Amino acid sequence: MSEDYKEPESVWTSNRFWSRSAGWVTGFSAVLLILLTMDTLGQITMGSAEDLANKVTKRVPSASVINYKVTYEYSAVRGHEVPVIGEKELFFGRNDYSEAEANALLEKGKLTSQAKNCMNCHTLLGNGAYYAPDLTKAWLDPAWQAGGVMQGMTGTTSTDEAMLVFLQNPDKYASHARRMPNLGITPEEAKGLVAFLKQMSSIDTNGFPRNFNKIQGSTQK
Amino acid sequence: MEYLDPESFLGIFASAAAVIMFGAIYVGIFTLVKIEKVKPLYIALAYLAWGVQTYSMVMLGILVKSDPFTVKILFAAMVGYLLIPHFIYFLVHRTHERFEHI
Amino acid sequence: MSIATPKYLSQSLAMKYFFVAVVLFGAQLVMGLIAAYQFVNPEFLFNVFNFSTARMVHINALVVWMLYAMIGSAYWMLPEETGIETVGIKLGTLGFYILTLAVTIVVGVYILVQVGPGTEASIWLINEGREYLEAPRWADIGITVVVLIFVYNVFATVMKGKRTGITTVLMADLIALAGLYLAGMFYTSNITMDQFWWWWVIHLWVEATWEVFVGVLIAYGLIKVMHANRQIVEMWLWIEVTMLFGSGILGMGHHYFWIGTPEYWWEIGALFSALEPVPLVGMLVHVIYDMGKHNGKVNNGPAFSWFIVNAFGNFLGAGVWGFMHTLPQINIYTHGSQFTAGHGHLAFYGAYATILIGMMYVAIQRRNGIEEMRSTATSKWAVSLITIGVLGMTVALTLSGYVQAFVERAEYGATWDGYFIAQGATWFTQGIDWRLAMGVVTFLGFLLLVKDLLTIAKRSKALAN
Ligand code: HEC
Ligand code: HEM
Ligand code: HEM
Ligand SMILES: [Fe+2]
Repeated sequence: MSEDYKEPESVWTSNRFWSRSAGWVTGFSAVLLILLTMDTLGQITMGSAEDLANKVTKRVPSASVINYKVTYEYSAVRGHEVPVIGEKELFFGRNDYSEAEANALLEKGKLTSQAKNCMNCHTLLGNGAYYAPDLTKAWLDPAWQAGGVMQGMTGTTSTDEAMLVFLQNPDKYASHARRMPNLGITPEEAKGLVAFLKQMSSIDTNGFPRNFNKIQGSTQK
Repeated sequence: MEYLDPESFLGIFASAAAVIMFGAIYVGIFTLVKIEKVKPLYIALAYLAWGVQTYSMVMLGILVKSDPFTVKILFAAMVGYLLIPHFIYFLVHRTHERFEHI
Repeated sequence: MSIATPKYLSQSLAMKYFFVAVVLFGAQLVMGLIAAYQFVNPEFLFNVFNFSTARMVHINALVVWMLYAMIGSAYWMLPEETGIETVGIKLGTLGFYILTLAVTIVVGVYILVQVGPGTEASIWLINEGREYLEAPRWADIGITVVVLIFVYNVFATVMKGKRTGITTVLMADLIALAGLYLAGMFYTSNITMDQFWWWWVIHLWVEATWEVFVGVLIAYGLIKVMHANRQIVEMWLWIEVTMLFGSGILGMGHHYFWIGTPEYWWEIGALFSALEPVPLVGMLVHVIYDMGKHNGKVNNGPAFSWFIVNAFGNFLGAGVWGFMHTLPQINIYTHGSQFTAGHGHLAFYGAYATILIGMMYVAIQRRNGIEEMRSTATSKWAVSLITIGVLGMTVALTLSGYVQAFVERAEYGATWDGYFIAQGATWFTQGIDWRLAMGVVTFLGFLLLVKDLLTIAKRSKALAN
């Protein structure tokens, strides 16, 4: 009890020694975390339209990536799949979105994803809820590609159009008993969401999800 | 990062759980001996638990396909873990001498 | 030494916080049951009260009731540790009413409005759509103000009253805990950046600042319930703080494996998060040690049981279940699967729910001046049913998660199709069914807990006379 507290002679049994150790260890860890954070922030800041045009690889590409084709390919150097940004590709009939236009679409999509609470059913980058499929690489999912079920079901001929139709009426285009509900998503919001999903699929996630597309035999040797 | 063989998943989860469980059993028995709740002889069981823990750790290292160097590091870490409770009880003992037996 | 304490206003306020915490705990469980039932029958309340809404309220109520109970515990301990009434307690009490009003409005909006259009206004007024931190921005600001009042109460009281190791740690920890909340309060279109900072709040709460808070509660509990030696308890506390922060802060790397952040987090995350179970073993042993030293002589039976369940639950849920999926080699297969949900349940329950319930019993005993409060049959049934229920849910989810790792991740590569193939696998659905059954067991235990909390003081007093 503190009443009969006596100043200890040995450092080991002195609380002062241990409280100082706690302070130093915590301080040291915190400083290290801050230094690492500064480095990481530099690496995860979004790239620019110029980076894309000049084929500069960024971990998180600019929203302008919607103007390009994205694939997920096995890299022997990295030892896992990485997103690859290819030639220009039409996105809702255009491939000349300015960076500002692309950013506006992405912002609409990201805001909608929060307002509609996608993360309390799905995972994004593997974080969120486990009631519905991970959306990290949804844009690249075989079901959305030509020959997949979704284009046929929605009567469209491209991934972007198929997603646009699905997101507005997901309960009508269900492929499993566990359906996605109608969240009142407008055409404008849906378009933003598709841009958001496409941009997310171009983020370098160190090979997560692994083996994606393995069924198609296209990505892993 | 290596691709793992799905067949080894069960072994991985089991050995990971064993590392922590036996780690606690080791320190737990060690403590009971120190506070004289069980006979000193039981210390052998404590070290046995540490042995199983170390085995599980090395096993885990191999199953997740760590390189041989990492496995050696894991072993060194286990030696560190062997020493920790000795140090802690040295402290507690000294503190007790100060504050309870004066 | 008598148990009875003067009627501090700070402790009256603590009781208010505990009361709301229990109400929210109940709401959490009801929402969990709805969500778990929707897994089994997806048409249940479909398009009316969707899974996402039930889950949002489930985990938000969880976070909020725990914060309430933590704030309550702090208001409870303060006068006893410092020997004086909490400074600015009137303001603190006002803060409680403001906070509770805000929480009521937020939950009402979650349940009635549910989702909004994709605009900034929705994020300000309806929900922020970020797991655990869904509270809309206006409420964030309100919460911050109330928490600042609380931190001021603690700080001013500790400065004025007697200073102990416990209050020093408490004060420093609360400042860090409150400060971290700010990292979750901004909007960005960059989902990687979003998740990076999101983990600053979530991980640095549950694996650093909240754990240290638990260390404080254990220290206080051991001294009050078992009359352990303060000198030794406080030395342990400092050692625990050293180990918890030393491993937990950089252990955050285990969330930076796959969200777009650089590869070096693989090594940092693996190394430091692998060390995270060490302090948990230490805390477990700490309790065994003091129990052995004092021959298990305690003055509060139910609190003691909950403290024991805490020591084991923290170790199992955070330590064992955490370590099982924390290495990047294995996490790539389990990341974002039911395995994570299994760990989340046992860890939150084992590390936090248990000790906070234990604190409620401590408060009830001391508030009513009961020298020795024994467990009633109801107390025993409550702790057993809830623990069996949560443990059962965890085992069931682990099974489902295992199937998911195996089928969805390793075999089918986490595609839409692969996801549903795994969801339909027999063992997976078994796990999901058992989770629901065990959820019901948990809920029954909760009902008994409420009954016990409301009646145990009267019974103990009757027994004493
Ligand atoms: C109430 C839960 C719920 C919410 C909220 C929800 N979804 Fe879904 N989502 C589902 C379910 C269930 C499926 C699977 C539907 C099926 O297979 O028939 C699904 C399927 C999808 C798919 C196709 C799966 C894939 O891998 O490509 C996409 C894309 C999608 N959702 C996007 C979203 C977006 C964007 C939001 C937020 C605006 C959202 N979802 C909100 C439940 C939800
Ligand atoms: C009646 C008992 C309960 C039931 C039926 C239940 C059910 C659920 C369900 C269905 C989910 C969603 C999982 C998913 O996304 O797939 C969930 C998530 C969660 N629950 Fe519970 N729950 C219960 C009790 C608890 C308790 C007691 C706690 C903690 C003290 C808790 C903490 C959590 C957490 C932290 C999550 C988020 C997990 C994650 O994202 O990994 N739940 N729960
Ligand atoms: C009391 C302490 C802890 C609590 C309450 C807790 C809770 C949680 C929760 C709720 C999640 C899911 C987050 C989400 O919704 O995405 C999570 C994830 C995780 N936890 Fe813990 N945890 C604790 C301690 C630990 C420890 C000590 C470890 C490691 C040894 C650990 C390892 C992990 C890992 C690796 C993940 C990521 C899972 C994934 O990739 O999906 N946790 N934790
Ligand atoms: Fe963590």
